[in-house]
Amino acid sequence: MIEPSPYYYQVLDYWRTQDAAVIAVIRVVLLVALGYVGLVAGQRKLPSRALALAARIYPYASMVCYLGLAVYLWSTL
Amino acid sequence: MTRRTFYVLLIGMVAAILRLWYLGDTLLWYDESFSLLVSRLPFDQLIAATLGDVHPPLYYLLAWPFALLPWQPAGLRLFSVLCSLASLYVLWCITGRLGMREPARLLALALVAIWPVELYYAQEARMYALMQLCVLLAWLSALERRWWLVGVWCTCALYTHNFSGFYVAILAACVSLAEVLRPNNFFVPPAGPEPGWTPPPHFCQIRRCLLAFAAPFVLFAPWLVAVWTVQVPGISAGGGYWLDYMTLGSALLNTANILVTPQGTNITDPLSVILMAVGVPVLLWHALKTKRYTMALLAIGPMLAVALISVLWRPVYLNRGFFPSVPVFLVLLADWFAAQRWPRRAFAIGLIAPALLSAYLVWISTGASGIRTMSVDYAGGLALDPLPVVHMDDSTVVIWMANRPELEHYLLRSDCPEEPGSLTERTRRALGFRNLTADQLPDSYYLVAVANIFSSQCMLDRNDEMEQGSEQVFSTGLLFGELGVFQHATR
Repeated sequence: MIEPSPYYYQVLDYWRTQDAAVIAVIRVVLLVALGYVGLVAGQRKLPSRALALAARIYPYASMVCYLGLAVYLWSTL
Repeated sequence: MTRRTFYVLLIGMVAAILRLWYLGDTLLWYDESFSLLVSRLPFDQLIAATLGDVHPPLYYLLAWPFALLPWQPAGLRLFSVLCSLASLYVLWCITGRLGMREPARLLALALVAIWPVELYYAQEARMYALMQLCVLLAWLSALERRWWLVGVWCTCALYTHNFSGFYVAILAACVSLAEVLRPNNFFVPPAGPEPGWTPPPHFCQIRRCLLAFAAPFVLFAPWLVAVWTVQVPGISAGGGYWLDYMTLGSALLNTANILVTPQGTNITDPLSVILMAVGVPVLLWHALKTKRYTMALLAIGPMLAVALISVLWRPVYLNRGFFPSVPVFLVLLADWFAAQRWPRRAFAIGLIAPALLSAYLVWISTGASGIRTMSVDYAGGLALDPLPVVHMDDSTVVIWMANRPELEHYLLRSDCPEEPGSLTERTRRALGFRNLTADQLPDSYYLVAVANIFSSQCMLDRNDEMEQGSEQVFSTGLLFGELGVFQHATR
């Protein structure tokens, strides 16, 4: 068994941080996507002007949310 | 000239300019240096060097004339540029065969022309651009039902990169199924066909199809035998394979780095991961809805297969091997985009544009290098006397032999165990490595010592020992590690 250098343990720590961040990002994305799927399904079952407007605005709002998340990650990672 | 021809030529020109921009500005990094050294070898040595490594030999054989060009590193990288430009043309033909509408075809072409990952691998002196070209050519030939060409391109793909096996297997399964589902000879009158009768071209050609996909695996069998008997024992006897860590997060980040932006920086990574997390499910759903099953499988199948192997056996999730999936995803993206209305299109642009812009910013600010700058820029710029250069690690020998061929390079043998990813003895011999032991050191020499994530503690101690009483000429920090060049005036 080769005894690794300290750099090996550094990269393991780095990957653990990245793992946590990547999984958090994917959770947020899935949550937002589920919201959109729910909104579109709701709009089909109960057609209303408010829901139609919300479905139209939702992609833009989620885009802003994603970009905000990216900026947050730039500043923290 | 029609408007369509004009747009295709315009996209082709932009693609060529972007692929040639900065082409020779950075030195060859480790993998590219290895390509240069191997491609220049005589045939028997080339095969020996490749047998000791992990990739098949076709790229090195085809890159040989480019490795001999006087202007390096641009000369060797030019081969990848040409493969990438040829891929663009093949993709244009594929989208036509798939029956996509012209705006979607042009959009797909434009996306591949400017996509950061495509630019990166089009400029890298490795086999990935060739691998993508072979897979796309095999796909196009299968769509055109030119079976002997399917056999040729699948064989080329297999001899370019081991991961091509996944793409060939997926193509074989999907195309064979499509053939079986075609109408068969039941339209032939009961009396039987006339002598010399051949089925109409739209009839099932399953026999030819199976032959076309079986032949490449038969032709690849000798290399597989060589891999099993020579390559695997050689690598196991050395430090072993270098991929030794895989978690869900690292696999997803690696996938984002091959699908969107390759640089792996804090600026590009979050945007790439978000784009991948949103884009991949949407595009796969779109592929299923529009019955583009082959595309869905070509896009995601190899990744799932390799992830499964990594979980069940050992980590083999090398993201670069999924490069042929990138144009498939981009064709799906163009097809999806053309089918949407503006709120969703705007949403897609809002996610894609920042990811691309951040990748271009990093690309321009680092002189198109991305990860290629890793520890190699010093090698070209460092003013050194014509003394022998003694390396503690074989990775620096490869980089220096390619980038500083005017100096004499030696590898200092130590009693430390071989590190993961180190070259096998067979490859070192074929590349012409000159070995030294501590008692054979010359009076004056330069010492290159590197410490990184693959270094063992034993090697770090050995580095410290060798650096005693020497003058440091240069040092630099690596992403995880450090590198130093020292001068020994007297022994």
